[in-house]
Amino acid sequence: MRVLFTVFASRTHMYNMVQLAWALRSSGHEVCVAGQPDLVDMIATTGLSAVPVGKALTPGSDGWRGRGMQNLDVLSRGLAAPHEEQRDGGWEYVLGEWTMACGVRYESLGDQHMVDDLVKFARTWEPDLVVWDAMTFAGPVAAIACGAAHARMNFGRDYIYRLYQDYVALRDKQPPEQRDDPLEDWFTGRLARIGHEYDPSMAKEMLTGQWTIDPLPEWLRVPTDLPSVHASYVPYNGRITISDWVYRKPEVPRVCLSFGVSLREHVGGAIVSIEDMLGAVADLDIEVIATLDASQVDPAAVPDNVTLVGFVSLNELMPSCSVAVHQGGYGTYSNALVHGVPSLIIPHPFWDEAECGVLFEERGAGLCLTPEEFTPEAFREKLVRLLEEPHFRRTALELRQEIHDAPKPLDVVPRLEQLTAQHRGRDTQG
Amino acid sequence: MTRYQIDPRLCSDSDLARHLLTARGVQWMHGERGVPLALLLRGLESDRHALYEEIRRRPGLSSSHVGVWVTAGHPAAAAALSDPRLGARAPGPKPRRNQVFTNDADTTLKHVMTVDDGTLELEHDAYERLARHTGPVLGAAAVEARTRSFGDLFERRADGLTGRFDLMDDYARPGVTAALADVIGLPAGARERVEALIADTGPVLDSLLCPPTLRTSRRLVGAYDGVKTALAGVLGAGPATSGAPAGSLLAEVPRLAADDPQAEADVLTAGLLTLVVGTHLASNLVCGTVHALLRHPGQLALVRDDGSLAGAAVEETLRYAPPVRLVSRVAREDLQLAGTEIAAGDQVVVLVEAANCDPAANADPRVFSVERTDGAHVTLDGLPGRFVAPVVRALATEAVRVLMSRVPKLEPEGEPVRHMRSPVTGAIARYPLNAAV
Repeated sequence: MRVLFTVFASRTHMYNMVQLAWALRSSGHEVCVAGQPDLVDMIATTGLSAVPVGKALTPGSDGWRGRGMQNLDVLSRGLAAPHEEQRDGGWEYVLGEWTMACGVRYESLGDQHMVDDLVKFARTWEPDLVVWDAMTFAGPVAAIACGAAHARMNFGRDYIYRLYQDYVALRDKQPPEQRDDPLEDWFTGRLARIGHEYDPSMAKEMLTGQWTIDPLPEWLRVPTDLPSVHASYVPYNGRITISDWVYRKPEVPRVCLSFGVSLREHVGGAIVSIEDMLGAVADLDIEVIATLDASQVDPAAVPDNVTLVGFVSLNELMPSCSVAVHQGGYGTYSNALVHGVPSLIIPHPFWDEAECGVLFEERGAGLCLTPEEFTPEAFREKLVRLLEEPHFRRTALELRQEIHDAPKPLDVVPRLEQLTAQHRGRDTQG
Repeated sequence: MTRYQIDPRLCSDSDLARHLLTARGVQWMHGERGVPLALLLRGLESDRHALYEEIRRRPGLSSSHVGVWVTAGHPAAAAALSDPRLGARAPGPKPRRNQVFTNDADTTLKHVMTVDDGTLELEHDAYERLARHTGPVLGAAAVEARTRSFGDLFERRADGLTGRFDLMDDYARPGVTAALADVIGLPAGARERVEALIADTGPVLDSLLCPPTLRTSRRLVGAYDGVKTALAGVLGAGPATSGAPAGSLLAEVPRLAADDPQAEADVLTAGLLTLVVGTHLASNLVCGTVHALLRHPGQLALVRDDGSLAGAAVEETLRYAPPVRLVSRVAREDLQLAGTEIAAGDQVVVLVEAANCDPAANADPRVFSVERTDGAHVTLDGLPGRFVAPVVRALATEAVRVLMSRVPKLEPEGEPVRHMRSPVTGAIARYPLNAAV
């Protein structure tokens, strides 16, 4: 088969696809990955073939289209709110989310330049299957244009489909004159450009693919009625060089502390700071490896038991850790789960962090401390529990085993071949 | 015309959809950031008056976002609407009419699309000429003289109302359209088609500021063009062939303005404005007045007792629940208004409904009273509403008077259902009522 992966210019979204792309490649299929020009070097470092499409997305990068990008607000604002709160927002809330998604957010991530280039490439290269990142909606358009099957690659919990279901349910309760449907215009316009007519029955497939490839273990997933293939998470953390100390067995329990750069900006309230967090555990007999640099924390405020390391691959670091403290991001919690390390989650507000925090706690694989509840004392208390109560580690190891027993990207290749044959809209090239 | 204001006829579905979606998405996003005008433009029935008060706290004109000014005060609104320096076209090079507003756009979007700028977006002097030419048919005195025939027409409609009916679909719009077709002198052969098309031109005023959906945009433009073609066809045939009755626009105006080479074009423009804008303003005003009366039984009783108060009820509805809530103007030159420097090309959005409820202009402005003696409002001061004001007032008054006198008991069967994305007019799609015996 020829398999075209496509993803907007986000390193972490690309990381999420690398193992599956290589699984297909090593099974003898032809694979290439299309993304905006500012992702191309990164794609190439994975050893996969990169196809530049559209214009650069990263502000300031070469060829960035710039200017009106101030319209691109926080990508997933609202999607990350607790689900019950979202539902309280009702029709105005869900309509607003899709209005902004179709007009600004998702349209910016994969604009017309990208769609046009991707369609052009797909019509030339004629892939049998298009695997698209769950936010890269140029993917289904290109697949339809060239008659390929198409599958959506999920990251984190499936908030997109959940919000769509909420939207449909609330829309259908509106009087006919008020059933506003931004998705219809979005897809109609995109399909018109490739000479296809949109029918409202296509909406679900345009949003979620002919099937979904989901890397999350079942207990973390949003229950779904969508056709799905589970290919469990296998870490890929970029091109890395490992220092000796990473593999050295620590003399005291090692705690990994890893956050995105935006911690300070987004964690609510002035009381929360990295300095508070580090200060709270300064007297514990542990070794804290913090993936922070001097721009994120004042080195003078760093206690003796804390080492700042800038970047370190979590896949290599986790095996030596007793606890991982993090923001609940998909890549981070997945690395912790794969290595059986309990998590202390201080959730960021971007995507599924808050719900994952709750689910980790319910499942016994960690504890959650919301920014609102954060105090240095509460932080210290939860960390000590995770270090001292063995059931957390036991559960984390059970979950690790579940992941190891589940199908890996390589195991699902035959299923993907089968589904592709079933869904492909044109004859195979032989 | 403003930059990024597009003519849907010049755009592919793909470009038009992108334009409309981005315009709507960016509007929504500005709303998320708390911009009151952007929240109003969502067109959801949220608490508009709280937003008006927020804007009114800043005197004169206040900046909404870059190059966009807004006013909720009555004095500033009245000044803006009567100032010919505030028009429909930004100075400078003519816009391309197909320049899609995207996330890369380098200015704010002001006007979303144009349906027919040669008719709907004329400047003050053009409307004044139009009013002069058509005054003998569409002016206040001429319209007044038709009161009786309007009344007869609505009586025939009202007498057919029994049990559950829809005030908009079964009474207001068909009655208004038929009356306007008489005023225009539309021949019988063209009426049915034109009346059907007019219903689809509903978003004609809203689409300037709030993007309709792709499908609605296409339908709007198609229907509008259909009306225009039909009218132009009748006009081209000449009054004798078309059989336009004496006293109607098609019959009279060419004769009255025979020396003016502009006359035929003006008749077409006036006919379109009357049929399209007139129908929607008048029919929404009828529904709005009835709705206000049904919600205020004391006021309803006054009008039922004294039919001559119907005009006062309509006038109070124009103030209290206007069929035009926003009017957008563009500065044709640098100017000063209400103490604010406005640059050429800037947009001024007059919050008509807010200005009508300015406590500086009216006592207890949120109270609906047909006996009000102040009642200052700017609803029909703006363009193109001003042009159709006489006929809109006369039709709504007769429609309300007749309904009140012919249908002794009216009960609402629910709230009026408004069209989505209609922040400018709050257009009523349906208003189910019960004509109890």
